[in-house]
Amino acid sequence: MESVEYNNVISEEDIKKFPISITTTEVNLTGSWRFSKPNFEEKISPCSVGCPANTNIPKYIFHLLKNDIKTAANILRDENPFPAVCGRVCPHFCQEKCNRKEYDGSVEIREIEKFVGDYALDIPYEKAQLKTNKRVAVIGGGPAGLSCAYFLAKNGYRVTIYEKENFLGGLLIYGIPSYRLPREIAQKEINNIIEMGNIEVKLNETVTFDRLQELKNSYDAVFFAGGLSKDRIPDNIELDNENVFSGYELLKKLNTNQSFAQKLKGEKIAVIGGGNVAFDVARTILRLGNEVEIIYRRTLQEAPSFEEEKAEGLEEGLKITEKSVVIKIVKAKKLNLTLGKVDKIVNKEVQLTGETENIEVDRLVIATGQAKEFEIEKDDKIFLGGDYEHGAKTVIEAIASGKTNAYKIIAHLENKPFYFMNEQDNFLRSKRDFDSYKVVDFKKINLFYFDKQPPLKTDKLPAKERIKGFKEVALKPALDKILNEAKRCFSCGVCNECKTCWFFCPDVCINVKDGVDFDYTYCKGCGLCSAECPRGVIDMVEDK
Amino acid sequence: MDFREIANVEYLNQGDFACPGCAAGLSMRHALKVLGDETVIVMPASCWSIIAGGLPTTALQVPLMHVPFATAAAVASGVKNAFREKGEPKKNVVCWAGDGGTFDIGLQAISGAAERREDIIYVCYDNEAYMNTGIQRSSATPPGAWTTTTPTGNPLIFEKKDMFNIIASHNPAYVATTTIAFPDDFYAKFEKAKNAKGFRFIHLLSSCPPGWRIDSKDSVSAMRLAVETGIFVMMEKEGEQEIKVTYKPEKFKPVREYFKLQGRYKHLDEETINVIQERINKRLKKLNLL
Ligand SMILES: Cc1cc2nc3c(=O)[nH]c(=O)nc-3n(C[C@H](O)[C@H](O)[C@H](O)COP(=O)(O)OP(=O)(O)OC[C@H]3O[C@@H](n4cnc5c(N)ncnc54)[C@H](O)[C@@H]3O)c2cc1C
Ligand SMILES: Cc1ncc(C[n+]2csc(CCOP(=O)(O)OP(=O)(O)O)c2C)c(N)n1
Ligand code: SF4
Ligand code: SF4
Ligand code: SF4
Ligand code: SF4
Ligand SMILES: [Mg+2]
Repeated sequence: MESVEYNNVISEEDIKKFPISITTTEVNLTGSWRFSKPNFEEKISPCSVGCPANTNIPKYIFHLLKNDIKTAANILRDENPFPAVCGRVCPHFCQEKCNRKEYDGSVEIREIEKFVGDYALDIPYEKAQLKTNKRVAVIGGGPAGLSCAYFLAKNGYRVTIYEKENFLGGLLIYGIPSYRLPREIAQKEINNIIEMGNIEVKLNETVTFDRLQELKNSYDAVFFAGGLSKDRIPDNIELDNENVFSGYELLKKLNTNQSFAQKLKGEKIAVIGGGNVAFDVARTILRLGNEVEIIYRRTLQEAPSFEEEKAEGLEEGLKITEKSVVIKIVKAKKLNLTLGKVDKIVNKEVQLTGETENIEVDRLVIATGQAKEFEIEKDDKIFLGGDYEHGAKTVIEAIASGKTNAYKIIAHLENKPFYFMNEQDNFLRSKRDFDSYKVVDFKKINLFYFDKQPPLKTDKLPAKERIKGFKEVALKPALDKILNEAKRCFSCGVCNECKTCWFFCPDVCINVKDGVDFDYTYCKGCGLCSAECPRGVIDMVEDK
Repeated sequence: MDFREIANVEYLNQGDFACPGCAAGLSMRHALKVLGDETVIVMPASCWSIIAGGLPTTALQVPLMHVPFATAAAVASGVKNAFREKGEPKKNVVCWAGDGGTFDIGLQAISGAAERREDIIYVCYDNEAYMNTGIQRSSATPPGAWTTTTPTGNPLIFEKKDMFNIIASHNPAYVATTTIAFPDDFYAKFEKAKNAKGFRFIHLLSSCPPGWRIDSKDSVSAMRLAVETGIFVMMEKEGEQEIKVTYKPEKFKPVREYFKLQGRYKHLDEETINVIQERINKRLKKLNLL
């Protein structure tokens, strides 16, 4: 600040006669009064801890609100190359941890992610440079494999993806139905990854156990993420792929073979199971004009499928028979099923009440889970990930596993400790890294600055409309609704340049621009900036 | 309030002599952001006389006159009229005084200026005692509060003087109570005061970390709690209009929460707190807030 100098308006003589100030208080270096000083330190938001890929949610929201959606997209994709996919199908672990949950409902992070992700669909990645001649083979082109390839390629590694099918994407393409995840969305995100460079794709390449040993010799490392492709079928049932199908296989057929899909129409079909596959296959055949009944051995409430799926399925008219198992199948013109009522299940052992019921269906679908095709051991060159490694989980967990393994591979090949930080492109490397970070919890939020406002409610296509075809169920909220929702974010631990600290500094010692600067020459260490920062970014630290 | 929209211009210099966390300095900083550089400050003896810096320094980028204790409103009237004679009618002449200089010592000059419809703004930053001379009780000190002259607490037979209504009864152009802990309210009221013509009065609640026996970092939250518990009500009266309360919380917090934060209330027993709570409730009911 410029000093006021009255010398030119007032003569030396005047000053002798009147007590008039001729200079400013800036001569008093009040910083010497201080015992503690403010320190700017951004922290971790609970939502970022909740997200398996540790997306820096407040940071991309901040850039979105600054009207810089491009930077928002980059921050998001630095951690997760599938934001448009996850914005649709992720069970949003982040939102479970959101600080706003205790206040007036979690921020609808997934909708914001979808919005930014959709915007990013048309933004290609910066071309990846080759930084080493080390080569990595990735087996399986599902989300885990693609994510691993993406992080390796970005870091300068040459990657070859071996994929069994004649397309990439795994369950994103042939598992999750298009009314929840439109194909072109998944396809675009896959294309963007491949077009980044450093990645070679070999389709129609089934890697057998023996082939894997060969690859191990010709590559510096191998990442296996083949998912779970073997059906787990109850002992008393036999698949014939004509009347009795596995849910996984049927869904794959329906999702990739149009003419096959048209064959099923006007039939009555029973689906056994209570997971995502059961609901997805049931909702898919419902859309093809069939009557569908889900038969599940526990209650609907206990069914492991996502709650959202169950609710939507019921709205669409799925019939659900709870606490029942198929005890007998008689193949006549149709299938005659005898259902036994379940009394209880003890250690996975089903105990029946003795009550039975007969139903007649055209076809039966078994969606009772998947298993590994073959067992592979981890070793110093073979890395495992995705559903294959951790069992049937979710897309984001597959992505996170691909990412973690990419960095494990890099650390291994470069002889670095695993927890090395790569400040350039990544926010956090793994869960364990959180130990060295401070997480801003609800107590640290200054609620005075936030009015209560309920979360965004996303509109859905009416159930009647949905079942006519494969249109996406969730409708896209308008831009202003998304921005409004983004504004609900507390931005826990991440400075969003709100200038609250600047406002409340009684000593004019704060400058907010790309972070916060303190003028320690004058700062008296009152701590108001720290107390008033709505999001716990400023700490008072001892000052000698 | 979006703080990013507030002008970056500062009229308060660094290096002032306010205690760490003092709301009086902070309030001046923001008042001047609204009032602008066409402002002259007239200041009776108070902490602010010290905050402003010793000769030959000044803490303000606008002219500031130090004047004898009882005279602020009278001097300001003269200064304003002198500006008018000089052909500078737009100057904001602003008295900036403590509670001692307003509730007690300056009251006759204020009443005179208000009654004469002087075109000045009178701001009282009320830290609820004579802080500068060592925390002596004033007629703005709330019942129960410790000061050096009320070592066992300000007796309950007293009530904090109702300055708002005293001024309101003079039919001023504008009278308001506010605090910098509610930035929207503060800015809106200074804006209104600046734009009105005639006698304008703003009563600011202004925390004082040493006098209130609080940690400097809590000085804003203390003022906020004063409003949220209803012990300090933010209101205004524009010209002939009715008195308007400008902030009503969803639910008032118990005054105990406000007291708990401050050492000056730490000797209060339950019974005393209940008596004070009852008085607050009575006033809030009268204002139709309960
Ligand atoms: C019907 C259904 C719905 C789901 N819905 C959701 C949802 O809404 N949200 C969610 O988060 N998760 C959902 N999931 C789970 C999610 O899809 C998986 O957790 C995720 O796709 C696992 O990724 P992955 O890469 O490990 O395996 P996959 O996606 O299974 O990919 C494995 C890939 O490896 C290929 N492959 C297999 N074996 C070989 C081999 N030997 N050689 C070469 N290639 C091979 C496969 O063809 C495939 O492309 C759903 C799963 C199913 C089945
Ligand atoms: C006529 C006169 N009497 C007494 C004083 C001593 N004095 C200086 S500041 C002050 C206290 C003012 O109290 P208040 O107006 O509440 O302002 P604060 O210091 O609390 O900010 C007193 C008594 C004086 N300067 N002049
Ligand atoms: S990927 Fe899932 S958990 Fe991560 S931020 Fe998005 S919705 Fe949340
Ligand atoms: S309020 Fe924002 S930053 Fe905080 S946990 Fe929720 S989404 Fe994350
Ligand atoms: S108050 Fe606002 S600008 Fe200051 S550190 Fe906190 S978030 Fe950043
Ligand atoms: S509010 Fe200002 S004076 Fe107080 S600690 Fe922060 S920077 Fe220092
Ligand atoms: Mg005082």
